[in-house]
Amino acid sequence: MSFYLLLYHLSFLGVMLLLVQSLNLVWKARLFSLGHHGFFGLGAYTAVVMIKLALPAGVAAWSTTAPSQRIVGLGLLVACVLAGGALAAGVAILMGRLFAQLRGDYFAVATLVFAEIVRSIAANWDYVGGGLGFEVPYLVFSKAGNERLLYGVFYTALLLGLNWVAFFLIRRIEGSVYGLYITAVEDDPIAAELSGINVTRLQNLVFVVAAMTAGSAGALFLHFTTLVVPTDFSFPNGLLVILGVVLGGLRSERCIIAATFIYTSYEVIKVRVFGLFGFESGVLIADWKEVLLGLVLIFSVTLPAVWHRAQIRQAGAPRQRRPLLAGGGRGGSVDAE
Amino acid sequence: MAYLLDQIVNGLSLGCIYALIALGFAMVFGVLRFLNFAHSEVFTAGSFIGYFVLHRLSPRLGSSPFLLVGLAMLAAGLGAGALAVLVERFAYRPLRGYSGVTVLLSAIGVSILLQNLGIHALSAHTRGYPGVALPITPKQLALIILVLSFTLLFVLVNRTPIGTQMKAVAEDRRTAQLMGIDPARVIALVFFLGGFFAGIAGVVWGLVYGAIHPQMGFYPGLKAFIIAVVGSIGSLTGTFLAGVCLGVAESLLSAYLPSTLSAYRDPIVFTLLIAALVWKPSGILGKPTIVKV
Amino acid sequence: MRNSWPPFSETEGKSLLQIDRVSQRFAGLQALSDVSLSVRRGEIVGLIGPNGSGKTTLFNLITGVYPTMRGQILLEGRDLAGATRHEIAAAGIMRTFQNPRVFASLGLIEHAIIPEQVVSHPISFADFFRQIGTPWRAYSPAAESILREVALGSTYGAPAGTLSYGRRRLLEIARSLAGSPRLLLLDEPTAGLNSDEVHQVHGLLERLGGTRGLTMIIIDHDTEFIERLCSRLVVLNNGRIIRDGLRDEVLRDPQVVAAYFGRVGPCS
Repeated sequence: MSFYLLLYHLSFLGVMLLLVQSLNLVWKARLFSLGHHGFFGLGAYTAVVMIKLALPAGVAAWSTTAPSQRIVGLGLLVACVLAGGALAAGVAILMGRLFAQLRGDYFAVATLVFAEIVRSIAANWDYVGGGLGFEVPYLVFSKAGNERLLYGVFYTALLLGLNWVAFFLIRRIEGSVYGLYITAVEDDPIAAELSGINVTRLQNLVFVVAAMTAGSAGALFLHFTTLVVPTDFSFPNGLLVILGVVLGGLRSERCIIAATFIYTSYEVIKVRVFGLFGFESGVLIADWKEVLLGLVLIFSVTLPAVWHRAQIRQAGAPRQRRPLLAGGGRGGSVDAE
Repeated sequence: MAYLLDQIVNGLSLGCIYALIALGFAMVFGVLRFLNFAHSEVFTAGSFIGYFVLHRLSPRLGSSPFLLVGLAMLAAGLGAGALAVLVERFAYRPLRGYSGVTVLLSAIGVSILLQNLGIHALSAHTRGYPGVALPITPKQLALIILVLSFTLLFVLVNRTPIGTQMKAVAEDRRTAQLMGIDPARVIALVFFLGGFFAGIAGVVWGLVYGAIHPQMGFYPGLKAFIIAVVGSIGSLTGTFLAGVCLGVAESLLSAYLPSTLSAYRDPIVFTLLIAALVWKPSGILGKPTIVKV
Repeated sequence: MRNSWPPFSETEGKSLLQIDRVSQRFAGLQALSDVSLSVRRGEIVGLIGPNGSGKTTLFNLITGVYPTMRGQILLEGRDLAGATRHEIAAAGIMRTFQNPRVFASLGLIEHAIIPEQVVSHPISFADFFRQIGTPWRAYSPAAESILREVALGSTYGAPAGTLSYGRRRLLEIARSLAGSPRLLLLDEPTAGLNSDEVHQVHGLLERLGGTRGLTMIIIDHDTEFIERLCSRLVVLNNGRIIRDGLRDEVLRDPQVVAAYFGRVGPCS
């Protein structure tokens, strides 16, 4: 594998880590969002719109290699990433308000539909290229000749750097009282609320922070791959993020990282076999790995449950912890047992 | 004016198909408080079963189209129902008692699994549905089927002992068990019925739209699910109303949206659905539930 | 904000909680009918009655778990209608549950820190940015004093899910105290405890009521416990208050005896 390809895979892993970690925090707060990839797409397309506005003369007019252009490019890159995060955060604030009354599984489907709306608007809006997607110019560095490696290193470093920032931020959050609040909501949302925690506001907060992360990631990743296609954030891809959270279990960050790595490898294999990432994640193309994905998803939730039941039968007493996602929806469990 | 009426009729038949699929969601949710994401694939399966049956039997039964269609629907209904029961047994029952989202994830897994198995077994391309020379149009057929199905289901749920059992299990599973009802059987029946009607809807879809492919279930399924929610899950009448409304809305949007916006029909429909969900989180006929602590 | 208990002398005798003709219906079951009750500061009220008489339902109404359909609930004159559960908790009403609900993966200290922090600093974006820099352990000392008061022992780090039933009850009480409540609602605090543990809870509640002047409403079936702790008893039966008065009078009332104890004759 060439060094460049390795960098490419590392970047991809970086993106997945960002998405999975941010979604994990949201799920911990008992907001089972299934549309996180929608924010990723929003971020990417915000960048597209900004590029279009910044380059009224068209994308082809941009020359990456002139030194002054590099600096402008850097500025543009930063602006796009910030804007992507900001728009995603704004939409998340709106969604939090709108969906405040929705129960756990209804909320999940509403977020899913949201992601679909984003994808289908992107696929139909000619300004951003419609179904064929949009190609942005290389900012700061290009793939030409000996720059290629520099380009790869630059963007990989940025993505991994963003990851590191997110990781650090999440650690900080978890070490603060807000981490306690989130864990309290995760363990028992009704007791949490009756202890004074404004669960809805906490959830909205976490949701917005996660959306911002996903949006920034989307913009950054776009400038790395320079091509975005609406099918990039179709539901099967969003599912990969969800799968990472599920496999990681909500408890340990290391689990999440391990899980992300595992299925990113699966993705990476897919990429190597089929080439460019952009087109293969489309809904219409299937290979046995999709079937495997379905099976993995089923087993990753049913097996722990079956094992847990067997444990109960053996031990004769309920265990302290329930696996993964036990408990009620957004409002908490129903009956005092 | 005639055009408008045409579109409304179109919408009604589309709405009927959605409502038929939504029935399955509504019933499963009514009894299990769970969103059966894989229901869309059951719909697709029914459609394909109907396809094969029609192909096989059409040379022999071409002269009696009602019998032909009836057999196709019966086969599709039974097959889809059986599939639904299988799915319940292996992907949902082990998760009994765990939160709605856990089961939802399993359901999504099943959905992906079935979709892609379908693609592998049957190839992803779109197939043309065999036409059947019926004296009535497929759209009128859809309406008739819906009315028949609702009547059947209504009678079943409200006038038969097994229907009472279903309502009991939906209301309070543990007490129902204490009264001697076997919830596993009732649940299996509920899944079977949902699948049955979805399978029939699949055949109707094929006859109305003429084309099917292994991933056709996703969008109708998503819309049907939201219809079931908006129609207040568990309420058959509500589901019927909501389904018909959606079908008509979609049809009118298709017909009357200015051409610049016509590609946005789906996002608009989805936004309307979200709006309905937000406006009435318990559905149009439902009351907010009180949670005991 | 309210980090200290209201001094006993200042507040004794003033009306803290006013429940005015409250009713609650659950699809065919009238859980409460026309319940009116006034609790003064510093009182320790025992709420008794047979199972299913509506005691926990009343607690749920006060704490906002159920929206009040009929009637009014006033805290220090302020109508609680429309207040969310966390707002009511922050206003000073805390409760424990029939089955102790603790945060299984959090340790003891965390349970004491959460209400103390969140009541005085409600959740918001601004607060979030402020708190990110501070590890929660910085708030441990205040929390530790509450744990000591409740006498929970020294292993503060163990996740609450691993605690014994009795210690979980104590932890629940500690958590509700951490928010500096004006009113504490205890739902069967002695259920499932052995006599030593009951003694411990009794001593704790006596201290809280006597020295601190904390207003409490206690639901319990252990009549000895209630007798020793509460000067005033309110008796619920079938969703109605059938007696509200001084302990000795209530316990001698034949109506109460018949309804609650199911037998005629004095209890002691």
